[in-house]
Amino acid sequence: MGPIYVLDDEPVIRYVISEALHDAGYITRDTACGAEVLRWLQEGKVPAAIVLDLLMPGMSGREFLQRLRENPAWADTPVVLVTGAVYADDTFPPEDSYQALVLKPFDLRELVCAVRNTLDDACFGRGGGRGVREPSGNSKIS
Amino acid sequence: MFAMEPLVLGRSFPIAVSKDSCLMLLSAAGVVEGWQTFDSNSTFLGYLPEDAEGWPLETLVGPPQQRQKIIDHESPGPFLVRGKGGTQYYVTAQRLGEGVLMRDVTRVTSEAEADRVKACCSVLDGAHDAVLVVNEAARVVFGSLQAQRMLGFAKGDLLGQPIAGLLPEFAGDFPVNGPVPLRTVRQDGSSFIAETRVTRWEHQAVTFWIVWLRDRSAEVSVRGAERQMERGFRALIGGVEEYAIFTLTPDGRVATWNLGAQRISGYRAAEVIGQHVALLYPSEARLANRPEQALEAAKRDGLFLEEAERLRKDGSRFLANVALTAVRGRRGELRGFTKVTRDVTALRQEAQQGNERSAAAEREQIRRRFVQIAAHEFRNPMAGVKGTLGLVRDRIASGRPIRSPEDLLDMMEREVNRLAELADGILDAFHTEDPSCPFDLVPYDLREAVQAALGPFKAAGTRSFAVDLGKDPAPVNGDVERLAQVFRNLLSNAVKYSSPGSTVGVRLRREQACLRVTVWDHGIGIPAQDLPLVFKDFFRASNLKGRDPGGMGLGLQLCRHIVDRHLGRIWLESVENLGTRVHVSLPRLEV
Repeated sequence: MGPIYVLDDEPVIRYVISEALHDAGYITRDTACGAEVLRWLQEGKVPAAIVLDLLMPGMSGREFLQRLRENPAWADTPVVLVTGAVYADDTFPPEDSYQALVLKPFDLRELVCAVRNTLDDACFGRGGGRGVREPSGNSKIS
Repeated sequence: MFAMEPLVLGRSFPIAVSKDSCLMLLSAAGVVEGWQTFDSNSTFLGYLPEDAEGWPLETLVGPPQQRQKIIDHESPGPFLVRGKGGTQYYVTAQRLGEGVLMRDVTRVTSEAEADRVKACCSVLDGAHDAVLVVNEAARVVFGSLQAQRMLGFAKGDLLGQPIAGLLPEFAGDFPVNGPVPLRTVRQDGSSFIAETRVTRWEHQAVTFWIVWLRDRSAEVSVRGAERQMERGFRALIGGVEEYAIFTLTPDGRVATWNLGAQRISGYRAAEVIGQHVALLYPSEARLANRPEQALEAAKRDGLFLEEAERLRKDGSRFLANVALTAVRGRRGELRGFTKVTRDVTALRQEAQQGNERSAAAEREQIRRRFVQIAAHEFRNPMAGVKGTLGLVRDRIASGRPIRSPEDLLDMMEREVNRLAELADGILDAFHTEDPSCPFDLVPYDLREAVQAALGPFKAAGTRSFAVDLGKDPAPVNGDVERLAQVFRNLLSNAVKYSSPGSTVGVRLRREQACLRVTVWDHGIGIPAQDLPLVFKDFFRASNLKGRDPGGMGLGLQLCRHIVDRHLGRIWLESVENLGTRVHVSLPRLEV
């Protein structure tokens, strides 16, 4: 099982999500920058799942998702979307581009549950067999 | 003259005659027995020998008394006679044995007459009409320049032309009273309709006829078209219901009245025609001489426009959109006025309601947008607090250690502070917009406000700051805290929309009676189409595309309110992908 990437521009949220997932037994890696995650992917470090904030400065969550789904090498990576609000406009990504949606402010257990379900679906429901890699890094709040 | 003496009479006499002559033999019964012309193909008085011989002379030549003069040849003439087809000729006659030698002197006479009338007639060259002077033989002895042009003859070629050739419909009866439209033939055979008048003229005991020709073909067709158009136009206007279209006499009385005028005003044509247009004005407008003023203005400027109340027949009023036009004749004389009036009462009401509706819709949109943004902005720090609490609770429940609990408490405090700041920002914005909210205006140095605002941003160290506030004092009369808030907002935007490590600048300059502070960045800029909206509530540039810089989008709006309250000006220049400059200009306090 690869690490779970946590992508959010809010350091506090990044921290609590990472900690909670860590407590639940997952390995995580977090950043505020979508471009950095893409770089990791290009280096071949494909995660088990990505927890993604929608509204971020720089590359938006929607833009990141689009880039993610474009490359066949990592297009199947499950994504849990975390957002403050759902707008019915073109800033929101298409429904089939993410696997779960969690609204802020969220209950941590609810979030961990969403991640776990998504990973289960990825392993069993959607054929599983996702490449299991050794974690290439594990960052905590600095 | 080729006549020979003694003359041999008889059918076999060969005697040469000239081209303009004819030797005629008459029986005692007056039948033409010989009609010898220059050759068998030559005519005299229009007749070939074969046409004339065997016919009584009286069937060939008229009128009787002139004919008799030829037969009697009491004098040599010339005599005016009619030949074939009634064409008139001047002939001289001379007894030659049993015969009569006749000579056609028409042309000679015409030329002689032409010479005679030339001096008198040259004045006719200046006439607008084409003028022909015709002698008793119905030959042209003078053609004016205009006649030459109109009929297509070269100078001199008109002389001697039989008038019958030019005006084939002309019966030859002089005089013609009044203008008669007659077909007129040009030299090239084409024809046109000329208005023709013929007058008699006695000159040196000789009678002439003056033929006046006026080419009306062009005018007639134009007038016809005008008349037809006018008829069509009248019918069209009469039937218009949407607009009142009517005409006024030069002194302002109603002359015509259409359906629309009846519908809008309630007056029928019969009730209103002849009445002064003031009838349609409300009494106060009448007392203020509005009707006369409108007519005067239209007379002076050609057109008068207004939107004002008018009176219906039933005394009710309507809002009229009026265009009053002066109508002038060819010489500029006032012929009257046309007036087009439209009842715009309903239209204006609708527009007003529409404005109210759209303003309400805009307010509603702003309200919804505010709620959306506020919810979103509050959710991030709340998520931080709630998440941290959840983490602590779960750790306690599972008996896992809580690492650096102070850090967690700090984090929660920061998030709660953020929530408080957001609430303050919203309240600030609403307060500042409230005109009754007091500003504490004191004289102080603007540089202090800028420095105070810069402090926290410099401390954060994520951007380098180029600060140029000059050496001179920058005195203003201002609310220190509010102005610092303006610069905080501007600096916050500059940082928010530029990349880490880039430079953000502040510059202060004295400009005449003002002080201008410019905050600039090399950030993403604002698309040109969004520039007019930047000072509106909740503004977010369209080039953000879901990138959330945070905040309520109230900052610039708030800045403008504060600057306005300081009697200053705030404006913004921006180029997408190059950066933004925001200028704040405040009145300099004269010390």
